[in-house]
Amino acid sequence: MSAIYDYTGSLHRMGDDPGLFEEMAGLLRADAPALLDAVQTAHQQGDAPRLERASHTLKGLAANFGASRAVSAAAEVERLAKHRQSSGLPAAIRELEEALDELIAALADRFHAGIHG
Amino acid sequence: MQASMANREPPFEPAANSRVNALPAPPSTEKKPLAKIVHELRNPLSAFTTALHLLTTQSEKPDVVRQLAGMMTQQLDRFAQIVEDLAALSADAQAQPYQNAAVDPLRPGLPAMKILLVDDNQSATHMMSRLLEKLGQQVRTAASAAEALEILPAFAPEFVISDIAMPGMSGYDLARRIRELALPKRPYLVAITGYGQESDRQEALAAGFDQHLTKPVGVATLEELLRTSTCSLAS
Repeated sequence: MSAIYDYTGSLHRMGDDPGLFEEMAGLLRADAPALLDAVQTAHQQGDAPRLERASHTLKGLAANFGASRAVSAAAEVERLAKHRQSSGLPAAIRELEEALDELIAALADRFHAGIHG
Repeated sequence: MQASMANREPPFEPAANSRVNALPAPPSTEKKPLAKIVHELRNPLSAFTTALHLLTTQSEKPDVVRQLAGMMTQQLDRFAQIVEDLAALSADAQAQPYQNAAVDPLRPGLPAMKILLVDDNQSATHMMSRLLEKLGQQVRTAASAAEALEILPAFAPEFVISDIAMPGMSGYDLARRIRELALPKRPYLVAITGYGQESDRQEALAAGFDQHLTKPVGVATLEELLRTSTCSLAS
């Protein structure tokens, strides 16, 4: 469908079960806003451990779909938080938001278009 | 990001031909084998669970709640059909044992074992549970290391598969604690994490894990884990 995520690879990891893929897409779409809120709040409050944990969780969620841009963006936020490098965080968080937005939109398009494989 | 997300469609809007929205199959007069009934139970059960999760996170949006309520009502119809199938089967002396029903026929030969999944992220445990159940395994989940320690003695799993980065007690601490417990048989300890460096693997092993896997983990990796580790458990 697109390079935003790897449908074939992620579906295979999910046991070639389109229903499970759809459930996981729904869970990502439900969980991502709260996790991004946690990222923003942790950044504003200078709470590096919480920032690291929230971005780590987002990385895992995006990895389920082989979404390389979102995974890389989350990994970068996680890395900066771990090493307490606050100067690069605003740009890294913006990139994470955009990448997740793009991923969620692409997954939604798949289901709105009725594409199941 | 937040603004663009808020302006989008509701968070879960399955396509008209999706499995979630699929209409129930017409009733059949033929008795179904237990394996088929259990298989058919998985989709509405899963859809129901997903809807419940979304309700807890999207309850402030009336349109979403209305959609989810409609989706759950559809699943109730499917549950009713499944209950009828089970009632018909209960009189059938040839009912097959549940254990056979759970196993993916494409992946035979794995013994059914008890597996405790530990992860504070519900999406992660949901996916892993579904995959392990496809492999015929009996799965329980814990949202924290502390909850896992409560479940462990009575459940007596053969495997504990745990995340590392969790609030409160980490996966490392959990592995250490399990090693200290006087269990009749210690479970095989597997760390599944987003940290994939060699140093991460070494740290997991040093904490007491028997094996370290890096996310994302798919069904093939889990199958290999169960096959190879079962040999270790037996030896």
